[in-house]
Amino acid sequence: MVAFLGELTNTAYAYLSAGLGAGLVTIGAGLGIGRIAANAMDGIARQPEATAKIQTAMIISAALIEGIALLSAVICLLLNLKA
Amino acid sequence: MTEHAAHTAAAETHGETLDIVHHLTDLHSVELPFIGKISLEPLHFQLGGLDLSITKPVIMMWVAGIILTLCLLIAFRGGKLLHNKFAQLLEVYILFVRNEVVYPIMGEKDGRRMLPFFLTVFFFILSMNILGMVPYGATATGNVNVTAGMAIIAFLVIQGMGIAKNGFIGHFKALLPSGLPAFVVPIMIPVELVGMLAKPFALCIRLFANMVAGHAVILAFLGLIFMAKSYILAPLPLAGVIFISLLEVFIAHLQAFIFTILTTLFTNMTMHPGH
Repeated sequence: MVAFLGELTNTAYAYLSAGLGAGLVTIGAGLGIGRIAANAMDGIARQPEATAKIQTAMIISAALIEGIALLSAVICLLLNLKA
Repeated sequence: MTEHAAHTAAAETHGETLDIVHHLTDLHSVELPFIGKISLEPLHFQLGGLDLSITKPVIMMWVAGIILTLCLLIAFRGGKLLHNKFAQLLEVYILFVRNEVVYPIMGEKDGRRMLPFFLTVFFFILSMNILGMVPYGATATGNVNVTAGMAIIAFLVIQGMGIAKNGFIGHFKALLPSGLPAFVVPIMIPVELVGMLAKPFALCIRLFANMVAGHAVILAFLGLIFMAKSYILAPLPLAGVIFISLLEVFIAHLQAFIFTILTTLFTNMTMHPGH
């Protein structure tokens, strides 16, 4: 494994890190947005009359998390393009 | 299938690779039905070292502006909404932005004053996003410069409304929560300044990355067809492309909504600090 890594060029490392980074971003964003969605569902189930408010707040916080995730995704894209 | 598309397909089959990046950043030509590729190189000009060429996203922004102006001509006359079907469609969008986005966050008094700006932002972004799903169109918001411009305007409005409402000194004083211990203040000032700049930056990156990601996925699915080179397997990526395209139409609306609601939220935060 170590010998194999030694044969990789810097470009190969860039592509590798872009792919790994994209996967890690997906894990983080998925966990974060999943938590928001789960709690929003809980709230809606308890108080169906507050659905509209909960949905708006849910979309806003999901969008904020998504913004960070997409920033990292753009970094991965740049790694891919500039390598 | 036009001649150009067939040519592109042939080139990609020969080259064995589908150059996604080239498709996403193909800025210096516009394609039209029956006419083909029109080069935009003659429109290249610079101003004081800045490259201000007329590129594809700029053309698409003009198209979006023309479409919105036509919408107004069709749906409104003398400041009144007409009673045709198209006007009713627009009314649904406008009422949604007013009643679900601006009024609940800003209240009726400030909301009524700021509503034209938010409606403009919403419809401009929406039409630019939707243009990416029209054949021969391109998403102007898929270019980071366009979204950066939108974010700068949002930043100016957010800060400007705070200054207009609370005064220049009151606006910047409101950045720091009152009753803070003195030793925290030097730490909080840079933090708040970074937060001030990070909001429009996030707006810019979010819109740009969402639009680019959707189109990259569509191209990746189309690339599967050229990779497999099989009539039997072709329907599978095609189904994927159709699904992602429908998702893109939804994302186009969602991103316009999110840009608008976040701008509303941030503007309200600077106008009414402290809660």
